[in-house]
Amino acid sequence: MAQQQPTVRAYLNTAQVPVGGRFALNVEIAGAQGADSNPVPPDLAGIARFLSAGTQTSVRMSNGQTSRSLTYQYWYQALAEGSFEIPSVAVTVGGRTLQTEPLPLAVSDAPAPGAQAGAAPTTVGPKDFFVEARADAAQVYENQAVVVEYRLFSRVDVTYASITTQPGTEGFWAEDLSTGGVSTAVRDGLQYATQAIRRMALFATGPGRRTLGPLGVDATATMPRPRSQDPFADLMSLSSVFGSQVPVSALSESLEIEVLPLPREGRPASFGGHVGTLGATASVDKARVEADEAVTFRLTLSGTGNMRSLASPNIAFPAEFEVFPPEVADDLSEGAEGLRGSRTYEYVLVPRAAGNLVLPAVEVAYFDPGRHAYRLARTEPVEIAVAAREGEAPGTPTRTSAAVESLRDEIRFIHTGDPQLRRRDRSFLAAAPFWIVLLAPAAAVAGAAAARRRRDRLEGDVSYARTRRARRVAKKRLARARALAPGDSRDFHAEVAGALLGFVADKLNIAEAGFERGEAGRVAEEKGVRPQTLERLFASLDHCDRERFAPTAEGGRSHEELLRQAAELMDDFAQELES
Amino acid sequence: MKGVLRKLVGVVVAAVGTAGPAGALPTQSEDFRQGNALYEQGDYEGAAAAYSAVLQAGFESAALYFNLGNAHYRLGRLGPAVLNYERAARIEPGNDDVRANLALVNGRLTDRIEPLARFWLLAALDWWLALWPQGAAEYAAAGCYLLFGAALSLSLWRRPRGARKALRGTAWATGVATVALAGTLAAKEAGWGQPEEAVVMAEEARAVSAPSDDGLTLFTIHEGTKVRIDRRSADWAEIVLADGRVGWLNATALEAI
Repeated sequence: MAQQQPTVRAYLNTAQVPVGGRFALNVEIAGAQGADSNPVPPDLAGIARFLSAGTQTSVRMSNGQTSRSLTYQYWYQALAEGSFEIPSVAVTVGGRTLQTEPLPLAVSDAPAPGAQAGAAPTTVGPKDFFVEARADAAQVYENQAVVVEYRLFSRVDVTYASITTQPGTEGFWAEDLSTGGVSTAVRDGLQYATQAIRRMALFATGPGRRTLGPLGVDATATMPRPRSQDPFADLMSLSSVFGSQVPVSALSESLEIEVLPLPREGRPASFGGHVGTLGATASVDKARVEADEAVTFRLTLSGTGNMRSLASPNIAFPAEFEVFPPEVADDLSEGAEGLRGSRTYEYVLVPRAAGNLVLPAVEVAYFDPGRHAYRLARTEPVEIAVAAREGEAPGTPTRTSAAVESLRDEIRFIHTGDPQLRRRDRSFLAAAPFWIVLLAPAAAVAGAAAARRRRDRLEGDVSYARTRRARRVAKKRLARARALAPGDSRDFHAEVAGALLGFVADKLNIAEAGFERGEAGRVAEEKGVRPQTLERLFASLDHCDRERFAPTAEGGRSHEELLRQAAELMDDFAQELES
Repeated sequence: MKGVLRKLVGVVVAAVGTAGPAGALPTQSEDFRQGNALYEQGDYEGAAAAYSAVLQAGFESAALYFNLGNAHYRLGRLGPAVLNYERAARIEPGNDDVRANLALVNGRLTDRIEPLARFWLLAALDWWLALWPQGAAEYAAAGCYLLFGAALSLSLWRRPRGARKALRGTAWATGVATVALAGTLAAKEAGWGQPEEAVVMAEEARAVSAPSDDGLTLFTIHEGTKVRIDRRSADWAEIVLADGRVGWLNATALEAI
């Protein structure tokens, strides 16, 4: 495809229009895909009124060359009679700004042609295709519903109507409504096919003047070809059968809505902002329950207005109930005044104490714009009989425990008791009590040892030493006796007797020489030795004496047996003596 | 014999009377109470001054440091608050209030340092030292030692009969306990297992790689952060963060605990 230099051309569909007639200013851009930005239609204030804008693309092929052109079409309605010049239009294409030529236009005061009722128009004019914007009120309160409708009127066959410009709804809570089907209507004696293309219920969020922008529509109109003089031309042309396709567009007027603030005086405390009408009902699913059994409390608010943004009601449930957050269900439908319907709050309540409990009346305030006054919707109080659970006294709260929630972190308070101050630079090593504590037990131990020693000395070292030595000496003598055993039986028995005698004398601290049995027995018995032990002792000594002086041939006990008995005897003697 | 004992008791009573642990501190105790009163009235500056006067007189206690830390915290001085809480913790590591406030203030500091795990033996020592409130170990050690002395004296003095076995057992048990508690006290006193530590007092301090102004900056730490001091060189200190990072800090930015 050859690179073409883009060109811009402006032309009028007619050079002459009657007053009130419509004309189109076409801006054609050739050799380019389109303008960098949409050209600005000239302001023909005082000459004509801007109606609508549209675009048309055409692709033409000749000799294998494709040429493409884009045409912006601006429809105006002539207002004043006279000869005018339509100023040039600036178009930026490919970074360059091109100017179209100014165009002459003659407006005559002859009436517009082709305005007969019923006759289909041959060209699409502003009376053939337009959008009408209508609000059901020009003055509303905050949050009061205003229904805005954009309705398309057409006298031509229209396909593919699409909305190109949406009215901005800033400052409003918008709820789209259904648009309904096509119907017919008569306007100024002309018959139109008409359909609402957008309907909204609007709720202003604050007071003041609000402007709703225009709504724009683009469509394709099918135009019947005017009957030509040449019947063959008609036959040859397909467009005589299907008509010609013409892009049309229309823009509605803007709407002005004044929003009034809600009056301050007489506003109830329970007013949550609802404007419209409201009714309230309350019910419970069970009027008699047991403690800890769930009850569903249903509050239904029904009416008109902005039901969807209804504020949750404040219900003062009695403290005996544990209340769970409500489930909210809406049942809304469209009405002539916008939205109507109901909202249901379902609270699950668990009574934690028995008794006849009353759910208080719920009050919801709203503003009635029809009466210009605040009103109240009230429910009746609901009574619930709660029976105590088995085995529980009525009125016993059975509240479940919950974790303690920390609200903030804060340092702990200062210590106010005895500060227990002590010197910083001196350790306890330097304190007198430390040394006293350290030395006192040492002194006590030393003193005790000294006292013990002194007492021992006073009581006589000899007896103490003998007592402690007795066993050792006796053992030595028994060992010597064992060494003698195989030889002379006489010496052996003398040694055993000596050992026993020495042991007892040492233990009792009496002289071994001149040992007298009666004396020893008395002293031993005084010191706790049992008479049987003494008897055994004396028996052993007798045996030894017998063997020494009158040995029986192989009679009596064996040597080993005697040694064992002697050792046993000493053990028993010592034990009985000490206990 | 009786005369000796009487003399000994006389000496002990006289010594305790003249040099008790409180050492007669009416002025300092009064200052402390004055500080508490000012604190309760919301005069934290005045309270801090009163507590500091007690410190300047040469006395200290966990409660004193704790209250001074609280006053500094109320005045928004996080560094001194941490320093005084840490000093209180040195004296009484197991004190619940001190631990709580220290944790709270540490949560508000600029630096958040993940500490390394402590060697288990040192952790066990910490636990043992923290078990004893201020003064308790001293009294327990003294009690055990006195009991030990009494048991030993009695077992020596009494005739070798009867309760001697029980006395010997008591002497053994109290002797072992005395050694353990005396060891604890010595560890507390000498600071075994407690390295030299300091708190950053400057709003921001640069830790450098060498003890000079030319050292490369390794990291910056902020007011209230506790560091361990490993060694000192002139007016520089080699610090170790709780996460093990090492750097040199100008000692003027630090205050030893």
